[in-house]
Amino acid sequence: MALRARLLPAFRLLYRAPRHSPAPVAKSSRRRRTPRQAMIACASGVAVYLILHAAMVGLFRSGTMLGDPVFDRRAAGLEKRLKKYATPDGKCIVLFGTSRMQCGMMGDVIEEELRDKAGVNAVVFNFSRPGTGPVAYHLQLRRLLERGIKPEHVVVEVFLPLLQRTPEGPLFESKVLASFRLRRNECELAERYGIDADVLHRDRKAVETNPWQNLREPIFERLDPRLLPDGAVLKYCRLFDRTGGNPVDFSEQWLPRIVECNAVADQHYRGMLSGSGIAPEARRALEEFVALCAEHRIGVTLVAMPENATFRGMYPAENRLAVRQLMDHLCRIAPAHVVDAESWLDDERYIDGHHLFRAGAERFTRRLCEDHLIPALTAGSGNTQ
Amino acid sequence: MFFNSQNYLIFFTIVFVLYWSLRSQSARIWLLLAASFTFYAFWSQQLALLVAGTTLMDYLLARGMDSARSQRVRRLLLGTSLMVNLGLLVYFKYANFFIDALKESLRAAGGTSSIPYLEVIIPFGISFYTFEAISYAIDVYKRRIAAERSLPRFMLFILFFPHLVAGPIVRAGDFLRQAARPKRFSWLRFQLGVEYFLFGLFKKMAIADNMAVYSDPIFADGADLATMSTTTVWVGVFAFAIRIFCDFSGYTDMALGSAHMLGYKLTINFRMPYLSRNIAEFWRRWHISLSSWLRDYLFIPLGGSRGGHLLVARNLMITMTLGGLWHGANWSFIVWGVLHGSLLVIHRLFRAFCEPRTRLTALLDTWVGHLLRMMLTFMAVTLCWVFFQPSLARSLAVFDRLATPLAYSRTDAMTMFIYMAFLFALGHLIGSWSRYRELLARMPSPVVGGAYAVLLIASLLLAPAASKTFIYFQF
Repeated sequence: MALRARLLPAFRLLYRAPRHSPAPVAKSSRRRRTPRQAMIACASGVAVYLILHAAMVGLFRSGTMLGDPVFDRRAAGLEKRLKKYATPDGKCIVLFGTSRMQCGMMGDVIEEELRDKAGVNAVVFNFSRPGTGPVAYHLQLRRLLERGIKPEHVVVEVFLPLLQRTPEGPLFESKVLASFRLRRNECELAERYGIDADVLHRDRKAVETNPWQNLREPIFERLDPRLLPDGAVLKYCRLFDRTGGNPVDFSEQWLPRIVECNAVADQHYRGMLSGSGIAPEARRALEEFVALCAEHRIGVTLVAMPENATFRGMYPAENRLAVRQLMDHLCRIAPAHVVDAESWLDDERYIDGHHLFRAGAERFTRRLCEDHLIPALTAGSGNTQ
Repeated sequence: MFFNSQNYLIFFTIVFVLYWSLRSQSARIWLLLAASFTFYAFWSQQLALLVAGTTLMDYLLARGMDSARSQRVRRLLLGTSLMVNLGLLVYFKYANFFIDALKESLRAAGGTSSIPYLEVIIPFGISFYTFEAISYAIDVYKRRIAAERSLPRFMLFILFFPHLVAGPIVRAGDFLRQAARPKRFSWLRFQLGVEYFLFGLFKKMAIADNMAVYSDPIFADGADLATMSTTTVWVGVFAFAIRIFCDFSGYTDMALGSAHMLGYKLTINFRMPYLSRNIAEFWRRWHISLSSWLRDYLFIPLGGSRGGHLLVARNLMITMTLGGLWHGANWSFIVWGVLHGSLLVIHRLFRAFCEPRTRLTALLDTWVGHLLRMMLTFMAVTLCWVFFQPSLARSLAVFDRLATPLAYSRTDAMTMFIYMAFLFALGHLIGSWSRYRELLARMPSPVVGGAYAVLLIASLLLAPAASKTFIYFQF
């Protein structure tokens, strides 16, 4: 009782009724603004908006900050790693490809394999991005060279749908090139490969009219990519590990989704894989990419990524042959290695028939190193299919 | 033409400039009338004519009521006005619902029916302007107000574009007094309008539209709830509660802002409703113009709070069920209304239970008590929102899913939800802080202006690529 008597006042003090219940209406202020203050507030609001708008457009035009943050972050990541790990006799290896290569090839595994099995000290970075093809590879390599980064070797994915035209005309990858925020000289290059100039310039114009809505992607990519309201897959592709890749861990949660993912892949790619062959612009883009590598004495490995049996079954024989012939043709332009890894792995390694889980990615990467990259980096060029 | 579209910005700027460049008050009224008609005609010219036609009829009937000496004639005129207004509402909004219900009943009884469904387009805002017209007719009949003599002013009362499509439901007495008064441009009022508009824009574009990303997949037709984790479904339900508030109050704020910039003050519709400590308080803070309309023109005429518990419960249930039906011609809205009616009855009984128990009342009046009551009210309201959907089957499925945890769980990106929910809660707290307006008034004007610019930029930046229509536009 005594304890209760002692505690009760404290309890009452702690949980006493609020002196003012939450007011339903904000009380009117005693101090009111004058009309002059109101006018200044409105005018300064317009002025601040216009200044910020102009600053944003200026930043965009300069191409320094809001150009292509995904590339910038990756390039910065590579520079940092080169500074930290590169040795005078070391190699810089850059990977270009689609989302398949982003989750299917592991930079840290390549580094480990080269170090342990060939004594080569390498810094590897994955520049793969979903939906990209030869024009994007070409642009990214140019950007790297402009930044003063010259890789010793590049590994390039060759994937038929990304070498094709869309039903509307231009190459499939033209859909994603807007996110690259091309500079004027890059627009000219893209136009040479049939990318619609109108689309590229319309995009610039839209940015200049309403930078906030049109640059939200690059802004959020800098602030926090998780804020981007796109689908989970795209978000996942924007995030990458220290070597630029993004391997996917398998868990029980994936089981019910794998069937769904396979169905989506079937729906999305069946038509493309069985459709028309390689577009001339894509062929030219790859030729010029390989030639650029040769000019800068950069070694090239062309890879057809692993796919499961169902996915491989979607290719008609002539399309498969056309891809094969293109790769061989590229080897004749400049010294390059061709790797046909399509049937390297068993079918349960895949998320959707052509995107690998981490275990599959690791296995594929180790074999690629052992069979192809180590010989290529230690012995020079040659077709090592 | 939505308030958050570029078209509306252009439209409003033209109207604003023309409005304040005119000197005569009657010319301004005509301009606003023309602008309102154009605003409505953007959706449908025929329906704009229909709205104008019924408004003209209401004007004439009210004039007749005002001048008639015989009570019988006045009653007849009121009856005609109510019949036409409610008849049109029922025809456009509820006819197919009733036909459907009839067909279902016949089918259940083993019969068949060949009654065809009506092919009608529901006029935008019909529920809102019908209630305005009804309240006007009743007020004139009860001689609370005199019938408006000026046709353009009366038409503006119904057609004024900021409140035409989704309220707030204005009362003739409030609006017509303002319309009759000559107006002078005021920077203070303009600033207030800008402030309202920008807050509304932010609520709609940044919060409501982002919350839709989480709530839409839960309530969308054909969405497979079995593949969603329980967390995802709960998040979707909470997101809907936040979304509906920000969507509707955002719209109302933009309407209030537009009206203020043109020199009119519309009724406040929301007062931090999610901070309510009981359901009765919630209805005093949520969609105030509708709840006060239902109170004045339905609940009180039914007997209001007079009489025993049973009678009051009956009145509450009728009012809330009809309030639910007002929102949409669907069983789910009726269930929503019934649920709210039941909650109000329970609250009333609980209050009566607490009254003689002073210790319990004191406990409920502590900080902890307030907090718990707020949380309980918010939870109850949030769960009721599950039925605020066009499909009862879907609502029941969501409800079922909320109570059935699944082993399989898919982690969806929650970052935006967390940020926006935090902003929403912060907004509610700041809004309920009585001194924030005073603090705002003390800020240097350029800082206030800068904050406006930042608010606009944040709205544009945070809005998802695909904007959503306002939820209340369908009513």
